[in-house]
Amino acid sequence: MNKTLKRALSLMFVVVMMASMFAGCSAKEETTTAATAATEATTAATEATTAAEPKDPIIVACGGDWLPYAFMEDDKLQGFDIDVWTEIGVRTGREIKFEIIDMNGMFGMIDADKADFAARQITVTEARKEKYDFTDIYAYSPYRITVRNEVEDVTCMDDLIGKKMIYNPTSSSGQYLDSYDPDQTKIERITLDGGSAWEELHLGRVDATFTNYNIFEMQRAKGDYEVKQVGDPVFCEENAYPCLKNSGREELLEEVNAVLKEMRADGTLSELSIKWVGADVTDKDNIKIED
Amino acid sequence: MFELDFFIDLLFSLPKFIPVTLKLAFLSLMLSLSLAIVLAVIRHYEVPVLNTLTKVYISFFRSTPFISQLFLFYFGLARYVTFIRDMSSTFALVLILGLNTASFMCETIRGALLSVDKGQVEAGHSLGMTNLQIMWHVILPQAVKVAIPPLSNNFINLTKNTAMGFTVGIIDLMGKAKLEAANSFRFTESYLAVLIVYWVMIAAMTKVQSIIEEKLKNKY
Amino acid sequence: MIRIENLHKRFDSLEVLKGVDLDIKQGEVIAVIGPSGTGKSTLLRCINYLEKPEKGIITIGDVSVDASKASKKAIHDLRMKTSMVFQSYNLFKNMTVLENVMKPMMIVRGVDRATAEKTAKELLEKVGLSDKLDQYPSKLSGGQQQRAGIARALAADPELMLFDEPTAALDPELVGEVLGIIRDLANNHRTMIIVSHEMRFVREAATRVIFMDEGKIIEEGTPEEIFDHPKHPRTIKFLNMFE
Repeated sequence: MNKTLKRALSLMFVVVMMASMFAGCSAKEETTTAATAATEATTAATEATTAAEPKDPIIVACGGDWLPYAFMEDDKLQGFDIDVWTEIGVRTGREIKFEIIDMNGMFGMIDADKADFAARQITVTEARKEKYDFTDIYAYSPYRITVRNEVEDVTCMDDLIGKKMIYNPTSSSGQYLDSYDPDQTKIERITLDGGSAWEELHLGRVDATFTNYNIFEMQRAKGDYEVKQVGDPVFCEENAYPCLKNSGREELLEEVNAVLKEMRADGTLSELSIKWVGADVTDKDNIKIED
Repeated sequence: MFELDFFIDLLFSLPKFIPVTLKLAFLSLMLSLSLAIVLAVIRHYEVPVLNTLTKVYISFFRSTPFISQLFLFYFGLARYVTFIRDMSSTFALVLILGLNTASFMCETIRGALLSVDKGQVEAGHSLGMTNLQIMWHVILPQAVKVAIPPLSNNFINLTKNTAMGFTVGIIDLMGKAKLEAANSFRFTESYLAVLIVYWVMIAAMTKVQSIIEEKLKNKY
Repeated sequence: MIRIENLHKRFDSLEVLKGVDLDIKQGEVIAVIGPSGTGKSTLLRCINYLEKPEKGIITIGDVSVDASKASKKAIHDLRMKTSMVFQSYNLFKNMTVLENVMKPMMIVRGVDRATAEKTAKELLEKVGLSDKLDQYPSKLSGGQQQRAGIARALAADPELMLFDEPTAALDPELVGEVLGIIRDLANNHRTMIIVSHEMRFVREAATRVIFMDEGKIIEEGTPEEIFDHPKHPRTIKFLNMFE
């Protein structure tokens, strides 16, 4: 009996070893064309600045699904956040490795120490500040109530009492909804994982949601949604890049912030904003709401 | 408005990701099958200590959702175990999927081992054959035939489970579809296309299963 | 020299063998008869340790196994000296007739393929199955399967052959062909113990008949002694059922 076991266990051991070799080898082939393209660009730029000794790369987790901050087109990862980080890579002389993962997994990767930063128009919230350190703010995103085109009687939050809205507890929208309706008595909340708030609104499964003024038309047009923004902005996101607190990344954070300051000062940040968002959203005062 | 062009384009570009899914599936299968045989033999002979451990293992992996197992491992344990933290997402998915499916396959194999009548085992013993020799020359060949249909079903479930890959950052068939859907806002077209691709892929696998079953049927 | 001493076997609370003693000389053909459930099959199955006796010593040639300290090796050695023919044939379903006879030789005793094949073919010719070498058991009649089973048991070249009700599962018209084979073996002085209900066959083929009842040997003797002049009342009662 022991012989059977030994034979079978050694067989299994061999198989597991083989599997791990395969997985290990293929992990390197694993990077999508998009990520490779991005890192190739960074490496080329880094070589151009002739770094004396190779520094550690920065791993940035991104959802890859958020036009125009970090999205995929023609299999290429691109966007405002992508360009900002690529530039950070050039200026710090570090390679940037983008990890595309389902957006819910971004923070998971940071928690698991598998990524340094996350990028996807992420907001600074009180809850997040307890766990994560953020870079300096690089963009502002005013959010307005969004309803279907035919709805005429909604201009402010109180008009939505008794109605249904999408609720994502960890996001800026969720945080705002909690502050407006802490007892959960005014607004009926629908949680969503993996779907699209735009779809839910368009289809009528919810009555309203919050959308980013800066990119509203861009996204609305892409999906051809018959929805509109109404009223004044209810809250304004401060966008920055999070990294894990107390994980020895303090120096890296300082390095990145120094570069971000440079980019802001010499106008690069504004340039990239205009390129991708269509307007300069890097300064709160620059954002004018026009319907 | 359903965009037919987009849908057709996607229908033809998604299959590029079939190799990713198949690679994940086959690596997981190798791990799962070999582990399942070991576990089935342990359970069959009720090897002391190992048998109890195996029962707990099987209960855990069969009774909890695969996605929660994956998340606990990849996101939860990575904090505390360096080895897990440095592991690639492919390795993690293959490992957990392999462990998960092994628990199902073990039960399948155990049933197949039991389907071989005890009389043949006694004949083997009476001739001086050891348990190992009987297992190898008599039981396993017959058990395999009985096990192929349910094992194929286990394998098909395994393949479908690879669709969780994107949650840990692997851009497999489903991951690509999700990205396409989100970036194009074309949810209907994207999800319909990927479903069709999965359907065709798994239908092909099912056909292979039928062929194997046919070949084995005529033998004995 | 084959000796069984004080064999005891119980299943849970039921004692099936209550102290069986038996000496067997080479070339003897022992037939064990008696009512159902009296331990006849159990006796056979204890000899090759398919059942583990509680007490008793079994000796075959230079191998002796005491139930109180039976090691795996000892049991293995004992099994190497015996082979069994089963009521339900128990052929290996995934092997052809030829393989059923060949393979155990190769697996257990390391016989090379060519020799094993040659021996197997000879044995299968002896039992009249030369035309069925490449058939699988599922395609054979009961009688053919049993003959193959006998060939397989012969291939193990045992010092003692055990037959556990070899024709009990056969259709009546097939019984004869199997008994014929067994009778040939008997005539060739194979040492055998046969458990059977075929009284006519027992009478013709056995050199000694043993009557068992309730886990003990009640009476034994030559076929003539047992069938024509039974002494014990229970033997008489049993044999009357066959008149």
